[in-house]
Amino acid sequence: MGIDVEAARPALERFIAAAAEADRAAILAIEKLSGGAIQDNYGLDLALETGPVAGRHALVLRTDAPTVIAESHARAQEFALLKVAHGAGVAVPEPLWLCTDTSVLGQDFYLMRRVAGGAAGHIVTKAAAERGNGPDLAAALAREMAKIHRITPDPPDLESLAFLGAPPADPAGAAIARLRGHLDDHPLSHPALEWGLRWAELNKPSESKISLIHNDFRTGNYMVNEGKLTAVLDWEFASWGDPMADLGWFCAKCWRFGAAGEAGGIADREAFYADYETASGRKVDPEAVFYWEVMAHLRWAVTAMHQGERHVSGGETSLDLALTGRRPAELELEILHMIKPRARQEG
Amino acid sequence: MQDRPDAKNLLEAARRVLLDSLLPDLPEARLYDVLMVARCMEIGARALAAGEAPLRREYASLTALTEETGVEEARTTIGPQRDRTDLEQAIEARNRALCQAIRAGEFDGVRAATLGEHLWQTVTDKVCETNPKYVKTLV
Repeated sequence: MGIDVEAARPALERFIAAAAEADRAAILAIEKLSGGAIQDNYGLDLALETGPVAGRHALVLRTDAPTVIAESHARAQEFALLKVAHGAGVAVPEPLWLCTDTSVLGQDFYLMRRVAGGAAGHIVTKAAAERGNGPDLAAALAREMAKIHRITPDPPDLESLAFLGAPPADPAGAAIARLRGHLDDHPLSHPALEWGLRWAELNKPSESKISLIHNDFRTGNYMVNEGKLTAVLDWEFASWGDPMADLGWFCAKCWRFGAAGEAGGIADREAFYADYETASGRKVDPEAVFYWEVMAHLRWAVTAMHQGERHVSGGETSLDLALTGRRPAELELEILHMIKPRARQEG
Repeated sequence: MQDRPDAKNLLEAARRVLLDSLLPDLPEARLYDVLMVARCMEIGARALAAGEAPLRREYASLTALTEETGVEEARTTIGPQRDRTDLEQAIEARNRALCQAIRAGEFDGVRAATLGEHLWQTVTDKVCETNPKYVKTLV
């Protein structure tokens, strides 16, 4: 359902005019954009009369979907993250104005510049295979990821990121505790996921150098226009964490959309590692990345399970959510396959 | 006993009509919805074909696992299974106990292999209903 943007048009125009220091803001067109089980996005064509940014603008308005995973950041926090990322030179849609006055839309929202291109995973992987530009795209992504990982909690000069809390001493342990909490919140028990989490508890990477991580950096969450990377999207899970977790999430089989390249379904893993090492100056720890790939499957399984529950008992009937609720089975099988003792796997 | 065709056959026939004769007439924008509907019908047909067999297998395997490893909480939940709901409730009660035991580390070490076999079989049965092709990619 979402918000009634059409009804809110006058209030929205007044807010934008004030934020942009314009005499008048006119919304020329507004359309709901697809994608995002957690957020609602609207494309907005805008004309500003007078002010420092007078003229026509193509924007995106981002606000919360009806039911929200508690773990994702509120819009105000996501806006702060985008500001920091934009400031660090990461390719993101330029964040423009945040509105926390709920009399405008009924909930928080922000506006950002609309970036050209598409993000849908199966289209991105297919196009990369056809154009043969997967390796270039992956190299560009490695550079963006490296820029994100250069943002560290020390020196602690990022007051706007205070909401992220203290950097975790044990990022893997924190992730395990979070996922166990979500398992406990579900009406059915999932022994295979429990077993995966037990493995995760017993096989934690020995050391993690903490940085900002995007935490949802995967094919499907970046925009590609005419074969070129235009923006890294979906910052709502960003946190202090183990940079190897971003590499694991990106390389996880469940985010390759059935395509061959182990790096996001678009490139070879080794090439991606090399590009990342060059761009970041960090050494890739393949064992740690493997660990975070198992965690990626665990996290996506738990998320999918809860999305299914939104359909079953959350009053949000949707075939898409319903089918997502049946995704955990194959993720569980993949997890069991990954954590099998190596000797049995070979035998 | 119902007349023929059975429900599985009906779902499969409906799915063929949807994909073969309706889909070509629908606009491109509806493709995703139609494929989702077809997928649901496919899952439903497979569930009907499998019947209670996967649940019974899971229950039997859980029983064996419980006896072999002596998880105390699980043993107390064993009861007579009359219908599907009873079976599902009995399985859930045992799975709940199993989860606690796993989390407490009771399956670390020598019991891991037995648990691994049980989980592999049970999850394979689940995937055989939702996406049987996926099982083949891992064998």
